[in-house]
Amino acid sequence: MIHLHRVSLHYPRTKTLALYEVNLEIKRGEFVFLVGPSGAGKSSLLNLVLRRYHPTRGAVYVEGVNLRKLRGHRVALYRRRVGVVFQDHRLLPRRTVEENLAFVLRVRGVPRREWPERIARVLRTVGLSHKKRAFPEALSVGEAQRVAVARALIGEPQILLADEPTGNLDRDNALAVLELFKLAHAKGTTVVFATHARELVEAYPQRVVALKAGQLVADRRPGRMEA
Amino acid sequence: MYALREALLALWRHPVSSLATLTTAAVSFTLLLLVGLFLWNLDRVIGAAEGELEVAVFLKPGADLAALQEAARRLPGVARVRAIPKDEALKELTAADPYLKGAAELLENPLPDTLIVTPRDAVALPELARALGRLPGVDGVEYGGRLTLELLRVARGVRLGALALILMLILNTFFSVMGTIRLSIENRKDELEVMQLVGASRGTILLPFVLEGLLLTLLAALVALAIAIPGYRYLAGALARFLAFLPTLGPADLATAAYALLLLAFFLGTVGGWLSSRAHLKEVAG
Repeated sequence: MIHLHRVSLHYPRTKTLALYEVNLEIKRGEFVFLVGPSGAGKSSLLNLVLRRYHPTRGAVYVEGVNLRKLRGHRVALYRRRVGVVFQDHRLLPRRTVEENLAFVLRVRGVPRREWPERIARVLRTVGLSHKKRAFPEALSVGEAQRVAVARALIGEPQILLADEPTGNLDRDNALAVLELFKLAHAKGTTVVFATHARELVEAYPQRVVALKAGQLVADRRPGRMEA
Repeated sequence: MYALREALLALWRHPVSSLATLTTAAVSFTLLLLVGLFLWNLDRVIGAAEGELEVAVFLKPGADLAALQEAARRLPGVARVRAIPKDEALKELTAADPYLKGAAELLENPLPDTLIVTPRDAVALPELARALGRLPGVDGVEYGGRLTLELLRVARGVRLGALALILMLILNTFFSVMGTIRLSIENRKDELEVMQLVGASRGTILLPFVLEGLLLTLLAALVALAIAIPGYRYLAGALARFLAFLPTLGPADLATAAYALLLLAFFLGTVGGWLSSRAHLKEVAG
């Protein structure tokens, strides 16, 4: 489903080589932990899949489509198939939880009559039905991150990208957030979960791709190891 | 509805900048409208003055009136040529002054055949008169209104200056709107980024900013209309009492000017909002 072919990414402003000759194939419905220290290139890789950046060399394909070739409205259509969660929740501060979720449905053109049911369902999933009228500043860090996951899930994406989504959370909250990704995975969503939290990787034995200084240094599937 | 709500919220969120742009645009539009009305009025005056300027071409005895009329018509810058045979000229003269009728009966008609030439461009009148004077069979030319000609030249200079001022006022409004929209985008950077990442189309993202620009300029145009139209009517009324011969603009003309301003406001708001948001969206998107 996601294929990175000899991808290199160079940031000209900072003269940083974020990724170098990365080859990676992720199948539909797979759950992949992307691990590595800070600066390893995890976020860069996710941003390439999100089509925020273009690779300096190589190509990123999603379902056979070279993302570089997407233009205009097709970029928006592609992103509607992708859910994304960041380390900081990035909820819109002037909108309530419910409005943050409705915002996604609005920009994706979901008919308004479907909103209440879909919002209620996703809030039930993340256990925050009682917070739907709360503003982000009234939420705990863990709650805010669960809302961010809800926002990613409400569009029923085919691909779910998570960039250190538990980075600001304590262990219990981190595991609670991971449970939400496990649920999405169980429903067939392809998940790419960037983290450096070993306990999460151990809590859900799945494929682990390790990056170091922009290079893919290990690709471990449950039960075997590839270098 | 969403875009309109967002546009109104954006105006509300940065009131100082919104008010600054609104004031700038309102002042610009008021001046623009007043200068525009003045120009329109000036054009009326120029038109009326130009219509009265013509060259009288007196022919030598025996010259072919019809042939010279044709030759004059072919000269560049000629709008109309009217031929007045000397008999007709005498009739016109005696009709205008009945006391001359007796004298005219005693003498041979002393008047020459005449061509009355109206120029296309009044300012080119002296040049045209010289060209007419050089035609074979022409005895002499005469044209009046030298003062009018000078006034026309000055009026054209004033018109050029006023047009330059109008252009500057339009640009001023345009860039004010763009600045406000840019501020609006800066204030909503995070929101825009999220919008893009969740797959909002460009239209969904841009429309609130375009509407914000549009609301600002339309509101400013309404303020300008509320000031400039009564202002013009008052001034025109006062002027008409002293200089009754000066043409002024009527209600239909003022309505046309108002529509034109609203159209301009629509254009500046929409295009300013669109260009600004389009340019800065890329910066936000990274």
